[in-house]
Amino acid sequence: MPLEGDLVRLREIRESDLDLFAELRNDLEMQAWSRTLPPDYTIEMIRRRYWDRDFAYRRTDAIFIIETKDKEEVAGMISYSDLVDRMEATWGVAVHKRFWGTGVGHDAADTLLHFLFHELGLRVVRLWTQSGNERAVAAFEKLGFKVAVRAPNAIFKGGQYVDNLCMDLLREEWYALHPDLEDGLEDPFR
Amino acid sequence: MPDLKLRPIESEDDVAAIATFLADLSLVGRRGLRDDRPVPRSMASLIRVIEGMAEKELGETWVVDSGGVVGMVSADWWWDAMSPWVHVVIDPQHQRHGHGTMAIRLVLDHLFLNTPAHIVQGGVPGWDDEGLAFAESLGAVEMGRMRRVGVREGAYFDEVDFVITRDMWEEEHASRR
Repeated sequence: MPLEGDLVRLREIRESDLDLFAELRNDLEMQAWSRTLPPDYTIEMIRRRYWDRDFAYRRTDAIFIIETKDKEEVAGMISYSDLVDRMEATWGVAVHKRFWGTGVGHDAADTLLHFLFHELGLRVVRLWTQSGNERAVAAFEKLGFKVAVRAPNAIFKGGQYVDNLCMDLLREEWYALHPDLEDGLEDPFR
Repeated sequence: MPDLKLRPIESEDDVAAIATFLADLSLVGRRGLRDDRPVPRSMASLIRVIEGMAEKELGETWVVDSGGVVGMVSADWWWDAMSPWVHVVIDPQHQRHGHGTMAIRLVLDHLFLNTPAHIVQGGVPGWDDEGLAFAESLGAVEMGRMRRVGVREGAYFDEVDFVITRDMWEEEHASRR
C-alpha cells in the first residue's frame, strides 16, 4: 500500500526527479528554507545529496516525491527528519509553484502526517517556518498546527526581518481532525 | 563576584572535568547536549559528546574557569549567525556563586560585540524551575514552548524558549558601565 491521499501519492526519489529538486532549490520563492540559498545548485550536486543514502531498518529521516494521482505529475518534495522513536519528528515541504493553491500541498502534508501518527506512532510533529511566508503559515494552521515558539526578527529574508516560527501538532489534535480514524495507541503519559 | 573567565577546552583534563560534573544526576536532562534525554549517561559517552562540541565549526564551547573548571558554556550558530543559541551549565558543587550569571554575560557580550548576532536564544526544560528562574533573572523573554519534547517522571514536558535581543542587551550592558 503506497502513501496515498486524495490527490497525491508520496513515492521514493527517482533519477528523473533530479531536475525538479534543482528547480525547487534554484527559485528563491520555492526554496521553502528560512535561510536564502544561492540559486546555483547543479543536478550533480543534487544527485550526490540524495544518492548517498544507504539501506537501513532504523531510520530517522525520509524524503518523498509528491506525485499527482490523476496525471502522475511531479509536484514537489516532502520530508521528515530528526525522528525520535515513537515520540517526534520534524517535517518540511516544497511544492512547485505551478501547484500552489491546488490542494496538492495540503493533501501531501496530511498523507505524511497520517504516516507519522498512524503508522509510526509519534506523539508530536513539528515544523519550522517564518512569518514572512504567510501562505505557508496559513496552510500549516489549516492542517492543525499551532505556533509553539516565535523567535522575533530571527530571520532576515527578502530585505526585511521576519520571525522564525516553530509550529507543532500533537497526536490527539491530529486525530481530532480525523474522526474517521481511531487511535489504537495508548498514551500512558497523559 | 568571583574572578571568572571563559576559555577553550584545551586538554583531556578539561574534558574529563566537564564530563565528571555533567554526570551528576541533578543535571540530567538540562546539560545542553544534543539529544540530552533525561537519562544518565556513561562517562565515555559524555567525553565523546564534549569532544564533538569542542570541534564544532559553527559554534563555540568554552570552559567556565574560576581558578578551575566550574562549568561549560556553548554557543551555536549553525542555522544563522544572526540568531545563535546559547547554553550554560555550572557544576552543582559550584552553583549559587554567581558563576552562571557571569558566564552568560561574557557570552552575550562576546556575541553582541563581536558577531552579527541580532538575538540570542536559549531553551530550558519546563520542569527545570531553577533554569527558568535563571532565565528570568537575566531578563530573557519567553518566546514560547515547544510542546512534548520529552518524558520525565511519568509526564510529557515542554521546552521553554527564551530570547535576549540586541536592544535588551545594549540596555543591560550600558547599565553595567
